[in-house]
Amino acid sequence: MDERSEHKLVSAAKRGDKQAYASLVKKYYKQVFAACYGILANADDAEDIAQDAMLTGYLKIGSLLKTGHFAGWILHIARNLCIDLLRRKKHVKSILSEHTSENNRKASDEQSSVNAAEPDVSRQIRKLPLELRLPLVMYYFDNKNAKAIAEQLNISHSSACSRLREARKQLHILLNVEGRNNEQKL
Amino acid sequence: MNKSCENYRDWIADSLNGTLPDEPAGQLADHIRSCPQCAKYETSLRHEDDLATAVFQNLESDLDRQQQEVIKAVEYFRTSPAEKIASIITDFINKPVIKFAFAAAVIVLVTVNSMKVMGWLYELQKFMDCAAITVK
Repeated sequence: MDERSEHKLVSAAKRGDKQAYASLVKKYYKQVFAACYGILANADDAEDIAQDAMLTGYLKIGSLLKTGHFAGWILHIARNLCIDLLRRKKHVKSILSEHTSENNRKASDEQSSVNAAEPDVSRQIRKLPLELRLPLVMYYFDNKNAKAIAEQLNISHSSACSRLREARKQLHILLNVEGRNNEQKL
Repeated sequence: MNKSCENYRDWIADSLNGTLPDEPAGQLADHIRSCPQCAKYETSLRHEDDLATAVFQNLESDLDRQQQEVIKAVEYFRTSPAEKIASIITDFINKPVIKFAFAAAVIVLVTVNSMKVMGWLYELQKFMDCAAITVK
């Protein structure tokens, strides 16, 4: 494992040192994936976008002016890619909704069966609003550090704590509502 | 459940998040001992926390593979002008058609040069025959 400081790693990567960039990937991939999963709420999409973001970072690292800001810069790239994906999905969804309603019902049924296979907690986390889901996902990926979440999201520590609290409470409500619905079906 | 239980439920969530200061933590512990509903709520939240932790541990277990794929892809990138030119030349040379054409060119050159050498040898032979006749 490359023990150089981040500043030196980024400077080396800017000069084309692939080993240096590989060290940056190992250091920040988890954070990038967590951010992508928090925004997209889908593990496969998060993997695609996180990998795209790291590769884009490698191609564009020459444009990074402040070598100490790699983390914020790569997360910014990841967020933009996530937003682009969500816009494309929304566009595709609006085109599909113009087709026959029968096709939509079948697609919806298939999606329901796919969703049913996911763990309950995972499904309910997807239902949380973005501003609550993102800090919660980052909390579980970042070894439960509310202070680090606040720094990464550029919010105050008290805001991060408040969002985590609200996320946990809403998740509890969603899980209990689903539990009651399942009991009624039985 | 009374109004203060709502406040305690916020503290229960904070406690699980690791963000509850020590002093309220003591008050919370005392309240949970005396309030079955809040105790039940705390148990539920802990259980949900365990489930969520398991989900994310499962996701995390795949991150190494994803990282390695990125690192491999980076190794294949060529970004400096010299690397790019070298890559273009290498890719061109490695094409099967180019290899075949190169082999054919080598064969033709060797054949032509061999014929030239044979011609020279023939001339040399003639010269030596003439020289032998002259000596005789």
